Amino acid sequence: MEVFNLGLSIRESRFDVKRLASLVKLRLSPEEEKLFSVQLSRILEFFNRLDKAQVDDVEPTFHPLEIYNVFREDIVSPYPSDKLLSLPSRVKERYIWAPRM
Amino acid sequence: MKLIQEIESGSLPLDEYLARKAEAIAKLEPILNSFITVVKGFEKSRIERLGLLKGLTVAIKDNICMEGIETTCGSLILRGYKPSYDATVVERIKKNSGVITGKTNMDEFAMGSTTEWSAFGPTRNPWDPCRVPGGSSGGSAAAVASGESDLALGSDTGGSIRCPASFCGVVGLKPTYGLVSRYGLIAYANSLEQIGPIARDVYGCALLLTAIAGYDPRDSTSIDRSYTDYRYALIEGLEGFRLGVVRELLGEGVDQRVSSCIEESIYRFESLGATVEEVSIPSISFALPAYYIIAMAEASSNLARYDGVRYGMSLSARDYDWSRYYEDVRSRGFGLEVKRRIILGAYVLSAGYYDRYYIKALKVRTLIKKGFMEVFKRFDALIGPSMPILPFRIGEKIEDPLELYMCDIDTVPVNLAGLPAISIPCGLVDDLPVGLQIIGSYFCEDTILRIAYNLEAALDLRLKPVFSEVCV
Repeated sequence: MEVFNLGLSIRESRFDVKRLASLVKLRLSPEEEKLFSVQLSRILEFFNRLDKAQVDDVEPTFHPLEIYNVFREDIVSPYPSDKLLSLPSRVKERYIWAPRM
Repeated sequence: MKLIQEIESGSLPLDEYLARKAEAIAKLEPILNSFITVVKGFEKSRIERLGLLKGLTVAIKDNICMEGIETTCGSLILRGYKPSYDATVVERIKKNSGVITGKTNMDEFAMGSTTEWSAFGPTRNPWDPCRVPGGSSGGSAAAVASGESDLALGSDTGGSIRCPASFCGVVGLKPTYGLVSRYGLIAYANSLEQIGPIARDVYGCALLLTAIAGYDPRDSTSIDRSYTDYRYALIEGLEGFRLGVVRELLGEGVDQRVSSCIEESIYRFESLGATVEEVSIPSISFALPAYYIIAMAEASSNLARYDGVRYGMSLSARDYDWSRYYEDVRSRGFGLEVKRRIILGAYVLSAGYYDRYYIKALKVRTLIKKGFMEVFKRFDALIGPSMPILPFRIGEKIEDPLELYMCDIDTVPVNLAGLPAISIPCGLVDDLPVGLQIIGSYFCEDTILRIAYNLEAALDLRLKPVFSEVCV
């Protein structure tokens, strides 16, 4: 899983909701921002309960059961492109519209 | 299940049965709102050869893909999305002669325990429409409890099958991680979630589990095991069974009336020949924060895919800058709870906080898994309540996310460990149902189904909610 570098200091105590939201491509309304500042700080305090857990020599469990790679034969099985092109709401001449880069 | 015998014997013609179901939906939907989409003309389905499900109706949670039928996850951001393929579980239900009635209401992207976080309005509890049905598979549980559908599929990431099963007085099973294919299940938190059956009785649950379980090469976490018909697990008697009552599941915050119902069930288990002992798994006290950190981290990553370009919601202006476009789509398309979890998920995965929160939560997960494995050396199954409280009023807890998260205290340890668990009704308090949870070791669905089957027979509750078309 990707680790984001948010440029936040570990000592930083204030929870910068606006900055975090922009990093996950969300724009919060002033009401949401106010609400989340309080709520998310409270939830983080709740997460801090884990500080009491003794886990120094414990390995992390990413998955409940052992996960291993599953391979299949390298045979092309085409998927009908019409089906895929029926999904986006804006398609022009078999191209999917995307916002300007 | 009496219904199956009636359909098989021809005393209840299939077309008559399906017409009754369509009538029930038409009558109850204005009150309950169990469905986001009802499959048009399902009552006219023709089945050539009656397979395992014998034409019984099955409602599908709206985060499971069905070809050509709108699949929204209870979110505006997926409005209009009609998948181009069937999820494996949908394919198997069709192959086994199940008739799919529709797509059921849910908390947006399965994030919630009340079904109030749906963009399509809350589902109401058939026992009292002023109360929540539980969630996130609240639509599926309400549809089954009310008789709108005889069977349903839910998904369980932190209790989303067992919670609504408990609140609606039906049976719901969360399978071992890897038993049921997740191909076509729209991801929220991959390492925690499983699709599972909801039914009015244990037999129905065993039947639907038999239809959907099994290896699927399209899901890399699917486990290749031999086929089991779970109906054969429903054997009378519990002589020699060792049951553990998990102290941490009956701790602080559990309503005394819920505890009393669980105690009553314990006496029943003893009278059925089982031995019951108290057991402790101390690491469970860290399960809630660990669960929410892991679930939010995975959600933040999974929900990055919603860009308003490839499927679902889109905005019409043509001269958008990409960054503003994504922000606009996501800000309008996602509801409050989803936004909260995406933001916090990104936070716990960020450099500087990754070890403190995410990795620490995964280490706690190891402790919880080991704790369960240790007690399963001495017990065949563990018991406790499914939910610590009774179904509460719509709007009562929605303003306080943390208070809602606390309600998941009895269900999340099971998902962290990947174990199977079933919730079955064990009593009524003030005309509201209480659910008992039975947790099994890995792939011991047969054991928990057998225990549930015996308790069901001993209690003989014959539940019938106020708003229902169920014949008891």
